[in-house]
Amino acid sequence: MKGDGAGGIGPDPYRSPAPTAFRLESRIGTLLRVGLVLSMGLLLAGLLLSLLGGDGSLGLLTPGTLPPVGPLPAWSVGLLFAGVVLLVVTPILRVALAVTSFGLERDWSYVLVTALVLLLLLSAGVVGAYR
Amino acid sequence: MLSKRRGSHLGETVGALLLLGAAVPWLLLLAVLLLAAGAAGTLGSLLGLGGGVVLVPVLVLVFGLDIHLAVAASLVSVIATSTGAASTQVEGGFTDVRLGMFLEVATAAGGLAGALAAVTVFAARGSVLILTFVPVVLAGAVYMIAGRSVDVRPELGSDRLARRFRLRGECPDPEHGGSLRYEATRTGPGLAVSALAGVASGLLGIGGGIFKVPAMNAVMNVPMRVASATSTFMIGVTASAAAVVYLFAGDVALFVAAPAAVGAVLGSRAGSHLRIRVSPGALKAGFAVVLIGAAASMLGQGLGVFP
Repeated sequence: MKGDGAGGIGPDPYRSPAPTAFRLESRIGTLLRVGLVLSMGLLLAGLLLSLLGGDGSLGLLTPGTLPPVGPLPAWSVGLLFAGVVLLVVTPILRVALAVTSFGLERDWSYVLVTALVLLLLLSAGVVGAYR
Repeated sequence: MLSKRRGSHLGETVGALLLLGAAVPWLLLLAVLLLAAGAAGTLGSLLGLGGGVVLVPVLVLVFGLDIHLAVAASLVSVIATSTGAASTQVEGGFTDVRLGMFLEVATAAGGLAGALAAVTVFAARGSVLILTFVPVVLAGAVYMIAGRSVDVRPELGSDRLARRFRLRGECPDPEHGGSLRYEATRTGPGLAVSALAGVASGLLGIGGGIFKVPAMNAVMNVPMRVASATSTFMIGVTASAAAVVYLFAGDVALFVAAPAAVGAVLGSRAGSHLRIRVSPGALKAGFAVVLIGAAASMLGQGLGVFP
């Protein structure tokens, strides 16, 4: 609670960032919920489909093995893959959304910070791909 | 002809029942996987660890999965934990997006450096390096236990870097009612430990949460609940970059990762609801136990006692 002047004009240095942070959180929260619900739906549908089997038989499930061996219904694999892809890219989208949100708030130092994070994540992905 | 058809019906029914019976062990394994992922998600989101510490051993020891595949599946479940925890209404009050993004710069840079070092310089023998991280983890445990009666010390104030980047906020304070205001201090050392967390995960693949939570709480004087929630948030971001690589390399076993993700989401929601009920002191004590376990495991790996 030192009056160092960094917080702005108001008597309460905590007050100014609050609405910004709130709007940011609610935008990010919505993105997360939508991404999560969609990917969980895809994963559950894929799991159910693979449990029941594309042709209604349980024959593809061999005891003691995970994942099940044998021909899998292509649909279930596709659904599972789509669900995992959506799940995995959601946090990256979250950072991308944070860049634009901070931009809309004209919070340039945090636009720089989040853009830097995004850049570093992409570089790490490139390094990982070559590994 | 009629009886023959009935017979084949009977055969089909018996066959289906047998197949169902044969499927039961698989369903049992599925249940074990869901439970393990649920426990990992609960612990991971409550303490800010992600949960790989719990899930990877289960996948290797119970399911006989190759360590590479286990890590890939665990990464997916860690992302599910992070996203699941963050999507709950209560979590918004504890996750500090600014603080997380600020420290993530150091973590991501450290992760990049660690990954580059792993590919080039230390490609042959990385496991000895793990020993160098043991003292840091143990120091974190000592700090957590010693400071368990005090969550934050307001008298420490903030430093210039924290003020420049407005590293402060408020979070619910269930013990005293109302909300707890905090401001970060010792930002430089906090950044350094966050970078170390990145190096450790890029180089050795060990989770960053064991470094990030002490960096925020013990070093930067941020409330324990904010530290663990923000760490959970950051871990999801870091893991997603790695998981994309694993995913397109075809190393994510979908039939393991999918149930693990479902279990982790359910667990993480439980964990983030527990956060308000468990006191910061108890969180710190639990975290210290995990740190000591992690140090022992790293010591064993570094000395080659176990893989």
